[in-house]
Amino acid sequence: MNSHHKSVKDIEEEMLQVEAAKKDPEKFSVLYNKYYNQIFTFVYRRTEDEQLTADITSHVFLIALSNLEKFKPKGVPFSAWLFRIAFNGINEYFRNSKKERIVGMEEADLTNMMEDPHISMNKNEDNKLLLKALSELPAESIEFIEMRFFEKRQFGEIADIMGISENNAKTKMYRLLEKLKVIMLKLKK
Amino acid sequence: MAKYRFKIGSKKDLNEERIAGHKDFKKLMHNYQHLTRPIYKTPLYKTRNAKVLLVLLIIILLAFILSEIK
Repeated sequence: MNSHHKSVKDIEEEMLQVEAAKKDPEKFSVLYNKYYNQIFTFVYRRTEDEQLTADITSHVFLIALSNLEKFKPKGVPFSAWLFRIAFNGINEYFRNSKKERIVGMEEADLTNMMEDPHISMNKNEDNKLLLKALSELPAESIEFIEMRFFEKRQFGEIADIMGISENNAKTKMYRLLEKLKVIMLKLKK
Repeated sequence: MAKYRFKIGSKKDLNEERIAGHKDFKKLMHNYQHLTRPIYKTPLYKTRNAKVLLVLLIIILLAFILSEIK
């Protein structure tokens, strides 16, 4: 289930839960139970290490709970804030450990990327070429593509996780795909 | 900067039961209380811990001796 698709009523109800947790940390259990699986899965897809994922996920909720006072509702689900903490936590872990981060995808995801109007390469084109081009992109760009094409997240959700506006996310993505196409054409020569 | 390894293949998420095995709100609350708890619940001079009192006494004695030497 995509937690980003929530009605205004749902978000308002969630804000009441956040306010209740600010007054009594024990009430944070409602939000913890609601989002634990989603955050765990988000982290696990990037680490493929169960124990590490459990540690990072615990850390995410601990940071969220201890910084709950700083949380300002902006009409987006509480999960967006949790995902952003998780995203930063994962990046921090891989930055410090200097380990490789896994970017999982299906063959079909790569084919879909090839067919995107901003790339519009022949779908019979070798996916290896696309992977080679991807590996030449900076970290932030790969994460962007991962969320959009491999996890199929909406622009609004990606924007919330990365802390930018939705329009900015769209513009960045289009520029990124154009850049990717240039790299692929160069590699093809 | 982190290095990336692209992995093509079916994405395997852990099942809900397995994830639930790691879910522990009590542990979270324990860590939260540990994180937000003041370092000293009672002021040092009011403590009944003999070792702490002894250290305090030694510090005071040293301070006194040093002031007398001058």
